[in-house]
Amino acid sequence: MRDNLERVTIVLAKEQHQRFKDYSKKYHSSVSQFLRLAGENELDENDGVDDLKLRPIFEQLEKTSTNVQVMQRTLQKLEKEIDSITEQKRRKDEYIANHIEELLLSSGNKLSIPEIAGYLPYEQEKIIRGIEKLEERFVVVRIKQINGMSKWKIRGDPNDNN
Amino acid sequence: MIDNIWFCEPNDARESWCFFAIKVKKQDGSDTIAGWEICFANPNRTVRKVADAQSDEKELLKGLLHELYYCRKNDIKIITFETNTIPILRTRIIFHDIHNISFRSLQVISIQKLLQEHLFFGEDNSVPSISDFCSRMKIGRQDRDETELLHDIFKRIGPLLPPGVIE
Repeated sequence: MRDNLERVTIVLAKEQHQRFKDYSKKYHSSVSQFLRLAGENELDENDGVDDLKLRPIFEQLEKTSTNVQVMQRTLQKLEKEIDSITEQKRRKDEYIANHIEELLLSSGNKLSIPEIAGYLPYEQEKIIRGIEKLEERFVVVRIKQINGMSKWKIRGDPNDNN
Repeated sequence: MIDNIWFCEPNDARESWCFFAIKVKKQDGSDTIAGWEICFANPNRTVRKVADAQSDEKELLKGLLHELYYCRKNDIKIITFETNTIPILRTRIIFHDIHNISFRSLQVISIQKLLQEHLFFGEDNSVPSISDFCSRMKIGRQDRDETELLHDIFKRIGPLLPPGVIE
């Protein structure tokens, strides 16, 4: 026996052994040669099939991973934009609220939204937002009018009984 | 100038503030969140309330973080009583390995901190608990959630604070 070979004993069913022997004889080979070839074929075949089957899945996974990364970057960008828009809106609202506060403080009167809009160069909608801000800062007091529009006055006026 | 009454009144259903309280439970030596309660309100009224209490803390946090993101997006200030509410929340988020969370631009006001800095409670200046403080301020606690009490306290102390503190 050559040095690079190793002897192994295998157990086969009698019929199985006969079938292998017949097959080997038919192709002028030995049972050992037949079993070696059969083993190698089995290994080659399975390795190849696994690679072939898994390749599209791996490719799809890689694509998905890239897509997730792109989505994450887009989300981060969106978050920053939301923050920036919110901050800009906040500053604008505060600016208008400060003007309304100055007006109410200097006039000393209670004023309705349209009356405030008559003094200040802002859209009525912005003035409403400014008044909301001032209410949230506890700067003004709302005076409800029976059958009429609410009016606002600076909070803390000692002459005010409301 | 629009003088139709419908265009001349503030939106009294607006959500200006988010009063927020958590129920903390000690578990294996650390503070865990067993429940939370949120009350959206404005200077004139309470608008809506949401709450959750369950044993799965991670699920609990998910619902809570959804509400907090809503606040962040809509520029709603979060008002808590204790100063440690948000730090506890941050710790639990890290503990549960929850990613893609941001508290950036979230505005948080702690009433406990306001009391400590702007009111006087004797020489040692130890801030009372929420129930003690409500009793002293004669705010009725019967059948009222903690967040509703926070709303009342905030409206009571808010006008006395210097500019910039709650803005």
